[in-house]
Parts: sequence; structure tokens; C-alpha cells
Amino acid sequence: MQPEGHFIYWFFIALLMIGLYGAIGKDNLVKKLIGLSIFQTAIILFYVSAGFKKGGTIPILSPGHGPHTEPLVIDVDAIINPLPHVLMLTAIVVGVATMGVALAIIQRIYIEYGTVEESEILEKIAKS
Amino acid sequence: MTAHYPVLAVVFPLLAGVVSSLFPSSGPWSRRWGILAMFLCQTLGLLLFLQVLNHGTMVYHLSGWAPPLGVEFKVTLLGGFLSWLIGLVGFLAYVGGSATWVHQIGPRAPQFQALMFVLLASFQGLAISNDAFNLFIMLEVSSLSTYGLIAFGGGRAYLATFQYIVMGTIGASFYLLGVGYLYMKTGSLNIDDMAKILEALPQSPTITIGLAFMVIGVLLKMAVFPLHAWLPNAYTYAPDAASAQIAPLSTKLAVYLMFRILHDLFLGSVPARMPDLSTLMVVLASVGILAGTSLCLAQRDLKKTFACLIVAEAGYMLGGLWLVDARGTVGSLYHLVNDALATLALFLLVVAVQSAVGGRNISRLPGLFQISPLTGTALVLVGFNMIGVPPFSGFFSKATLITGAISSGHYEFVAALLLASLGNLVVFFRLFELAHFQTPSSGFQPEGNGHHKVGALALLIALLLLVLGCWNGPFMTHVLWPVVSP
Repeated sequence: MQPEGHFIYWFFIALLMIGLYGAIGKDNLVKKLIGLSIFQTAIILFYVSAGFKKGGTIPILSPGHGPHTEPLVIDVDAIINPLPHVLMLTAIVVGVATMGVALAIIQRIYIEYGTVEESEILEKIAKS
Repeated sequence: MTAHYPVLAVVFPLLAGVVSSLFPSSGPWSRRWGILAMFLCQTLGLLLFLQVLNHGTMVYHLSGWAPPLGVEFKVTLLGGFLSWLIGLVGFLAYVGGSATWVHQIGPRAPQFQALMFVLLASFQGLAISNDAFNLFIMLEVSSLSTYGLIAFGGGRAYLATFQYIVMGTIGASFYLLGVGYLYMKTGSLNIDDMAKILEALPQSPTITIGLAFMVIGVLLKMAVFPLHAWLPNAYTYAPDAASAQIAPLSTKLAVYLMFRILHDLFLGSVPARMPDLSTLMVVLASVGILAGTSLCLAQRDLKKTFACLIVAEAGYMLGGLWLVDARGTVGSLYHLVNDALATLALFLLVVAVQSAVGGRNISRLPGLFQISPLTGTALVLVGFNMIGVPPFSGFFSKATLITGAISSGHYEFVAALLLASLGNLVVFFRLFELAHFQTPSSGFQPEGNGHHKVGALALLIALLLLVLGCWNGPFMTHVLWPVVSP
């Protein structure tokens, strides 16, 4: 058990739960969206930390460009895993797209009902 | 050329969507292009299926990178069939829904059509991609285009879309989180490769939690009972052309993803290895079936009734997949095909009923049969399928599910299936009674004969269901059993 090594996971779970609470528990649609954004960011943090290695460096080969005269030896422990980071680039794009659609929808809701509080909107729907 | 069918099945609709968005809003050419491209998608799906049927599983490595490094498309027999089904449903839904565009979509038709093609492309990707992360992307692309399509409904559709965005994003994120846990364990994202590594690993909490996150994410996308709240409103307030396109396949492909997780990723070992979890899932499915059917009984709006029916149907398929018996899985997949066609027919019937009697509240139904006999007949036949009258395919899927449930000792699932059939009987006989035996109360006069055409299309799909039912033996032996137990 290494408490300092697991700290990041506790942090990610806490962030995840804050986001989930915001997305489900809040009444204001914009706050829901902020919660959703925190939720997605927590997952990105999880992936990025999964690719990290203590003492590792960025995954760029140091000898530079051009042909190598001797076989290149790579110490895998010294280089962090780039794949999760690359995956998260795609996930960030997906998150941005979701955020854009959701903001556009909130704008339409505001034009339609004059409010972004879910309870007030439901009241207006029930009255009509 | 043949070798490129898998990637074309995904890329062609995507390009067709881009081309669609370039058309000017007025003029018939946009629609002509749409119908041609939909037909080509369907043909491509059929060619892919025939290819797989004759030559076995096809694999396609994107950009030539072999797995586990690259993304792989793998078309199994069932994947190929689903690819064809997606094309066919897309084409029929497009043809059936096109009459409603003038009133419900208006000048933004090219954008609406573009979203439809993007949706189709992501569905194809969900059916044939063999990369866990790629599946997440396809899931999100299908959700994003669905949000757009539903929001075209205007008015109450906006709030329904927002609720769907929140639940859909949470669902997809949970799936992504599960993939992350399994990636930490296996270091791979290719499903076959992950399966090979997972098989050799001892059971550990990381794997269990990864599975749990993936399953919860997919359950949200499937709209199984306690997680269903987003579905009925979203599908009800969507434009009719959009709901006919989305409803048949969206939740069904989530079911297929669940099948992939259980069968391809964990190689069918989950129900046997974690009996508590599988019992919990079957109980959840049973409760979901009963709750969905009860919701259905409470509705007065025809479209919402059918939307609630989808919630109940998701329970059938979830339960079947988690039974220990392989017949449960086969029944579940057969039900998937049957339900995709039946849901399409139901949502086309909504279109036909609205143009025949001027509304979709069930109080409008009296006299439907006199005004539009084809629509009335189709309603009866599809209703029989949903109730499970032989020789419709709905009967054989339920029979297979029940056999599987009995042999694995899940009697609560058997009870739920039988009670749900009874519930569907009540739902549909109430509709039959109104549509066939009561005299019309309102003097609504339908304009044009559009309802005859859409009714005829629904009738055609009902006959397809009949054919699927009569051919259930060959279909199960040649397409489903080889996939479930090779």
C-alpha cells in the first residue's frame, strides 16, 4: 500500500463524484453542464495519470533526426506512455462537441421558456 | 474493391452527410440525393453481408496498421447482418418519414439530412469496429447526431434533448472509464487482443470495476428501467422523421455493445464467473420489463406509448444476455433484429396515423380503419408481433428467451416475459378496439393520400417480420449460433 502513489486516484474519484452530483443534483441547467464538464475532466485526468511514470520523460527520441549509426536503445521505464494522452485528445474533442451542442440547446431553452431553472421550466410545461 | 467494403460502410454515409449539407435548402435535388445515398448505403451493407456469408469474417486494418497498434474493423457474420439491417432501416425510415419534412423540418432540411447520414455512419461503426476506444467514439458520434436530430422538434424537444445530453454523456463517460481500467490491466485496446490477455489474468478488483463501469455506461445507453428517464420524452418530441430513424437502432446497438463486452471481451465467462452480478442483471431486466410495460399502459399519446415499449424491450434483451444459457444470448440477438424492424414499423405507423386522423392522441384513433385500411391492418399485424403471436418473429424470440430462462433457472424472468406479453396484449387491443370498432368522432379530413403510402410501408415491414418469423430456424442456425458458439 503506497498512499502517496494512490493519492491521484482518490483525487480523481472525488472530482468524478463532484461532477456527477452537479450533473444530476443541480436545478440550474448551466450548473448541470458545468458538473458534466467536471465529470469528463475527471476521466481525462484518470487516463493521463495512468500513462504517467515516476521519473519518466516525454516520449520524444533524444538522438534527433537522421540515420542512426548504432542501434537505438530505448529505456521504456524512462519514457511515459503516450497512448492514453493521445486518446484523451480525441476525448477532449468529443467533450467540446458535447459542450457546444448543450450550450446551443440551453440557449434555445432560454428563448423558449425565459429561464434555465429546470423546476421553473417544468412548472411552465405543466401549466400549458 | 471487395476488401474495402468494411471501411466504405462507415465512410460512405459520412461523405454522403457532408455532401447533403452542401445542397441549397429549396429544390428537390437534396431529397433525390438523400434517397439515392440511403439506397447505396443499404446496398453496401447487403454486399458486405453477402461477402461475409460466403467468405467468413472480414478484417480491415485502418491505414494498414495491424492490431494491436492500429484500429481494426472486424465484420463477423452478425456484424455484417447488422450492417445491412442498419442500411435497410435507414432507407425505409427515410422513405417513410419524408412526407413529414415539409411541416416539421422546413428550410433546414439539408442540415437535418446531413445529421441523419452521420448517425448512420456511426451506427455502422458500432456494428463493425473492433477497437474499444473507437467504439466509444462511435457511441458519442451517434449520440451527438441524435441530439441534433431530436432538437429539430422544437418546443418541448429542447428540454428533452438537454436531459438526453446529460444522461448520454454520463453513460458514454462511464463506458470510457471502464475501458480505461481494462487498458491499465491489458495495455491494449483491440477487443480480441484484450480478450486474450484478460483470459490469462487472475480475477482482480480492477477488472471487476472496469467491467462494472462499462456495463453501467451501456445500461444508460440501452435505457433499461431505472436509467430510462431520458428516452420517452426525447423520442416523443423528436420530429417524426428523426424518431423513425433513431428509435429502431439506437438502443439496439447499445445491446449489441453489451453483447460484445460479454461475449468478445470476456469470452462469455462473466455470467458463470460472477453469478451474483448476473442474477442481479436478470432481476433488473425483469423489473425493467414490468416497469416499461406499466409505463406503456399509462400513456395516452400513441408515440409515447411506443417509446415506452422500447424501455420494456431493452429489458428483454438485457435479461437474455445475462442468462447463463447460450439460448438466452441467441434469443436476445434474434429479438434485437425483430425489435429493430418492429420499432421501425411502429414509428412509421405514428406518421401514417397522424396524417390519416390528424393527431396522435389515442382518442383520435376511432375510425382509423375506415379512413386508412392499410394503416389499420399494419397496426394489427405489428401489434401481433409485439404481443408474440406465432408465426411472427416476436413469438420465436420470446420463446427462445423463455427456454433459455427456464434452463438456467431464472423463473422471475419467465414471469416477467409472460406478464409483459399480457401487458402488450392490453396496450394493443385497446388500440385495435378504437381503430376498428368505434365510429369516428371528429370530422377530420386527411389531405392527400400520404397515409396510404406510409401505411403500406409499415405493412411491408410487418410482412418482413412474418418472413423472419417463418425463417427463424435457418436464421438462428446460420447467422446467430455460429456467432454465439463457434
